Amino acid sequence: MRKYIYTGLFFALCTFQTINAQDSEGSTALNFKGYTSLSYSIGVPVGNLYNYISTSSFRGATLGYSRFVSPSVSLGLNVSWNVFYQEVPDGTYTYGTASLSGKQYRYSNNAPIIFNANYFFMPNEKLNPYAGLGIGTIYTLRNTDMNLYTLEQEVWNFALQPEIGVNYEIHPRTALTFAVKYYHGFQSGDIKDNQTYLGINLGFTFFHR
Amino acid sequence: MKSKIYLVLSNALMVLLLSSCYQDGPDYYSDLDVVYTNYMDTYKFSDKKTYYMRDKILVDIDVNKNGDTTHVYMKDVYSKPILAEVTAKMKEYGWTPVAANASPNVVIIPAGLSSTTVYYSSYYYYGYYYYYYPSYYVASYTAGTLLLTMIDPTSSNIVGKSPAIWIGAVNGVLTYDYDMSRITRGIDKAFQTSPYLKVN
Repeated sequence: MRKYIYTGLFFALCTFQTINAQDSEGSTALNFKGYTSLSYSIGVPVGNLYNYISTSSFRGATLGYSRFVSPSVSLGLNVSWNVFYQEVPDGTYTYGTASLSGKQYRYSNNAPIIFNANYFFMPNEKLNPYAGLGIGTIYTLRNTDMNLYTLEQEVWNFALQPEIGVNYEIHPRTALTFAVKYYHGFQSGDIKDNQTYLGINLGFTFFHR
Repeated sequence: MKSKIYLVLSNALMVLLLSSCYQDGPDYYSDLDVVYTNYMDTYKFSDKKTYYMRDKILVDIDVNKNGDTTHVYMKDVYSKPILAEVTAKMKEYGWTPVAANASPNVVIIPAGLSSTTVYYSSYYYYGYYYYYYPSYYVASYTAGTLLLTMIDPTSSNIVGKSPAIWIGAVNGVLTYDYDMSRITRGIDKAFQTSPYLKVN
């Protein structure tokens, strides 16, 4: 129970600047210095990550903070976490003359830390689409469990992240946000594959001065 | 006021999301069962037909203070179904059982192994005004392995030992249930992944 309370307090602190907002403000991002976003994130594996875990992740979240450098352009930092999991049915894995048969439980925890730049196409409108590009890193922790043993692999991948999205203003300082991000982590360390997946985010954006 | 509502809703959403981020995993002991096989790729199984296998499964060797050893065998209630399954699979693969003194082509040596892992953790916690004594958590589990070793008694290496030409091992967490189906399924899987044993 405590962890739920602490988690809620953490996110409340991240967005405390909006608590003192007035209900009637300008309706566009032109009036604000920056914004904080919180989103629920669905991860869809592609490429080599799909070869390891083919099921989508419905356990994910994204937290971001950005500042406007112009009415249409913002720079910021996004941190995400997606957990991929798959139970692989009883299978046989052969290497030379040796064979090992059993169930596997595969986990991939992916945490992108991305510096991004977004361009807003219609900053004066309630419906404000945007596109962006990010650069950063993805921390990947991969566990393959079989019998009583686990094979753990841990890497930091250099990553690029293009993104498209749309904000829909539901309050002068709040918008509903939908975004699709493509995370491309280049191969590194123990994991000889690129870490690539689509992030489908739905959440809130809070504008502040 | 609306922004406060959205703030509360978004925080609640994130708490719910993160609280659901628990990891799934195995639900039953049988989910952890594995079967391992390996063989000597230079050995010609197709030239062989007969085998000998003892009617007991060795599980331990007791050594007394005088250095005398006593073999400990698996109870018949467990060993008989296991040996019956191995015999059935060997017959299916075209092998014929013979007595030990009938010069069998190969000998199968069944054995049972087990290991117990004990782990513990301790944690401290304290209230606002005072400190609690540490609490300890102790748990253990026992893993068992059925090992089938096939040797050719007519071949030996420089030290006079017969190398294993095939090994099949069935491993899993031991329970106190009389569930032989996990072992027999493992034996079936060991033979299924060893098609080179077929001589018919």
